[in-house]
Amino acid sequence: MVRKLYKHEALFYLRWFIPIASACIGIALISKLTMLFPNNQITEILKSMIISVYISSLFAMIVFGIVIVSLRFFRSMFTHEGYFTHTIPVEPSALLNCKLICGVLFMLVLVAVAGTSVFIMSLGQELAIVLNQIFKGLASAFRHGQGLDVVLFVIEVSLCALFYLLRTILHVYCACSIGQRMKSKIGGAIMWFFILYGIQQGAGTVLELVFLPVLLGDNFSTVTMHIMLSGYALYQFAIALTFYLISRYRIKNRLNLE
Amino acid sequence: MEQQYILECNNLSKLYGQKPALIDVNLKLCLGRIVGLLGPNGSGKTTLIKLANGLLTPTSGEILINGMKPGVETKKIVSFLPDCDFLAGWMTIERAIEYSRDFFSDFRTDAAKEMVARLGLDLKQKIRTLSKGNREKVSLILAMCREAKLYLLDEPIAGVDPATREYILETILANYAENSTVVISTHLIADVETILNDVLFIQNGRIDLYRSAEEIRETEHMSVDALFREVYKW
Repeated sequence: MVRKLYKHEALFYLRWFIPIASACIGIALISKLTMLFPNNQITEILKSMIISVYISSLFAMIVFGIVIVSLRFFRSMFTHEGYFTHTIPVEPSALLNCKLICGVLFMLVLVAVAGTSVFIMSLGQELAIVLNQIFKGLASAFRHGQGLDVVLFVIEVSLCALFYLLRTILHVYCACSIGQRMKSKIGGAIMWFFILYGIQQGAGTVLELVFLPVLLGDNFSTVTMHIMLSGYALYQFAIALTFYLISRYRIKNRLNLE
Repeated sequence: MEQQYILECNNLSKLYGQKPALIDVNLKLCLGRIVGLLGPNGSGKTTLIKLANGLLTPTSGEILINGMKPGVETKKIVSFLPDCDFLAGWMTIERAIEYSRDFFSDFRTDAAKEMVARLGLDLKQKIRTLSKGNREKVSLILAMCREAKLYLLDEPIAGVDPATREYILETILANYAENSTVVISTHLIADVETILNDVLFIQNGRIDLYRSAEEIRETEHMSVDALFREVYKW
């Protein structure tokens, strides 16, 4: 039964993935083609415009992805579509888990599409040379840096990114789950989004005031960097977990489909 | 042997904040009956139906479906038709049928497709392109093409034309599983009276009456609709 949940959720995202990915890769290819135009005043202006469009499309794709994930959750769980969703014979937590996992995977796939488009743009260009120099510089820093474990560093950065994504999506879910009890569900979700954002910022500021002076003191080293990265990942995870538990409770015990 | 009731309420109450929606409801519904849940707007009909579906939690008391609290197992045997348009507009009729087939093992896919075809609708049509009446019919088909033990239909004939109402009532009669119970919540009593076995009058969250429709007609010498107007006249 739970497998079927994932199937239908995946089918929903596939509808959106194909046009979005096609648009992004298409813009990258068009941008790449314009690079081949001979240089003159007009083509320089055209190239600049197209590069701007390309960069904007990357940001738009990610933002659009978050919007789709958010709307999917809100509409299928708290609007009239929720009658279909909440009467299927699965636990409320299974619904939440399915939407979260599929939402995260959808965003990761969009990031991979963005990466692919950057790769397309960088082929045979100065950008490739610049990227190559950056990676070589980083590798050199790792080789010569004392106590910096490359593998651990990559794991920490990846976890930070993953937990940040989880936290972002769960932030929206939690705001929707709390706001759905208000007269205007959308207004309630937006209001609680900013309230939760404020609480996060406050907690983050307190932690920074407590820990940063200690960490950035005289004994700063590569080990300190590992500790900071791990701490940041843990902080994101803790916030994501809090949002998850609140959302699960609200969906199970405080559902409002009016 | 103790009789198993398909729906049982024991001192069931539900408050929305301080506002009572259901007050101390005690009720036992047997299998094999078509029950009219009749009451004016705001009487608690939809609240009772939502509690039975596990969409709300009781403030006090309990509600049992086939002896179990509403949850995963009861959702397998309950078919629910809400009083609103619940189908996602982006879905095709075929996708909506697949969705029901995938989650409800008692769903009769062939019967659903046949009924959609009889309506003259294309399975590939998107829900959002259907008229209101056709969306209501498709929703009803999805609810009634299940071999459920309990059908909960919340205002199935409200807001539709008389011809559609007739179609809806015929579909209910022709498709509900044998020995199952159908609860039809409505305030349009005259239209459903002819198909009801039992009637429940509810107002201000309390059950005022639970009797057989036939018995009402024989003992009160009036229709259920007339009795309802008598009981609840201003």
